[in-house]
Amino acid sequence: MMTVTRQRIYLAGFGLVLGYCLERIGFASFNEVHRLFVFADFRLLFTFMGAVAITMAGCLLFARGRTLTLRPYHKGSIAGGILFGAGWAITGTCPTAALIYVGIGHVPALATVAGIVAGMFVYHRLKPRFFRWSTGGCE
Amino acid sequence: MIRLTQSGGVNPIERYRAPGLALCMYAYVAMFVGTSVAHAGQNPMHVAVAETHSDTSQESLSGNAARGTAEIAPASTSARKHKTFWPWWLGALALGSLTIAFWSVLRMPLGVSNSWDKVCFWRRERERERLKAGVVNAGPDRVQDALLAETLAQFGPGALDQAVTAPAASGAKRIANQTAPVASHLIFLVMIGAGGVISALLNGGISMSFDLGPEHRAYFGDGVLLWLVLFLGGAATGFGVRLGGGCNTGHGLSGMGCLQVGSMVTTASFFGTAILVSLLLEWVLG
Repeated sequence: MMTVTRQRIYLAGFGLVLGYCLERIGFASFNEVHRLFVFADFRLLFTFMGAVAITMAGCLLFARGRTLTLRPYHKGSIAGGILFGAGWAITGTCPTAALIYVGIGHVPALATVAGIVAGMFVYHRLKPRFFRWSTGGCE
Repeated sequence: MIRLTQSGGVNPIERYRAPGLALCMYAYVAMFVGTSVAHAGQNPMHVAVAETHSDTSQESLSGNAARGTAEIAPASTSARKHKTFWPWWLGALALGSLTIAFWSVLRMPLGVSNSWDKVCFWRRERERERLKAGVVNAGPDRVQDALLAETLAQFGPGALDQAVTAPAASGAKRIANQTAPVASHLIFLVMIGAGGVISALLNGGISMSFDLGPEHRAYFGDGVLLWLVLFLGGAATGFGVRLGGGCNTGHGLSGMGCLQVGSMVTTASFFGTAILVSLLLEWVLG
């Protein structure tokens, strides 16, 4: 069994590597992300597709008969994707990169972070009334 | 879909764990060697491009240069000089192997929006942890007695013999998806930011700016509008991420990598929308 301390050390290490990689890839740069979406540059697109392909290979190799996550289709899949896509295009920030933006000196990214937190709180408030389904995987 | 117990034999995850980690380590070593190679290859290319330009049209180049500096100069507080990013294969290798290694070591799917959720609603999570601890503190005897009674009622006395002789009963616990307490998620988020800072420090340095780069400045300026747009965009991101059940790491990487239907739909949805909105931005504001 993994102790909490060991889990924290591992999480910290993976967080560091993930942040480093994302910044070096260019996911924390509005210019790069925007060029991906207007097809001015295929580098990030290939990066993403290649990463998915490698994950697929790893999934086949290490988790035969099992899945890393179980994510079924649900009623919020498309609507959630549309909202997230719009937010990503406007701010150039996925939730992962938001803190990197702040860290590398873009002060207005604080507004993005505040927005993400606010959006989550609004969803949390509305969920019991309007979105009564499981979003799968990690609840 | 998920089989938590393996009936007999060594479970494949345990068997492939060591080679899997070795492969990921190898990928990272290759990555950092590759970075230096890529950098060594890139610098002469920029020079070559500049030279061909100067050969073909001396005048237009100087014109461009003058215009370029004039344009960049006001925004240069944000633009780091000579920022180069990884080539696509290097980034793909890094992200893909990271996703696999994360799950292989921590037994949790890589998903950052989930961490955001846990940190934002730490009060709820603390309550859950307390309840869980309560069940554990109630003593294993009470839980076991209840389970035993239920088993006997459902399957009869013969089931007990089977359960005792069933192999790999302890392995099941380790394969099950693990969860982490709130503080761990907070550490994870903070360390992502720290990783980005380290990367920026090592490659060009950090400079404070009040925009998200010259392109974003061209669309939204750097005043109140920028902050408003960023807040609303962030709110759309936060809401959509929770409504869809994951962001581009959870759905895009770990979900798509396992061919999950929900992930594919969501990924297609957010990629398509992002492309449309970006093209709109370019047409309307550009």
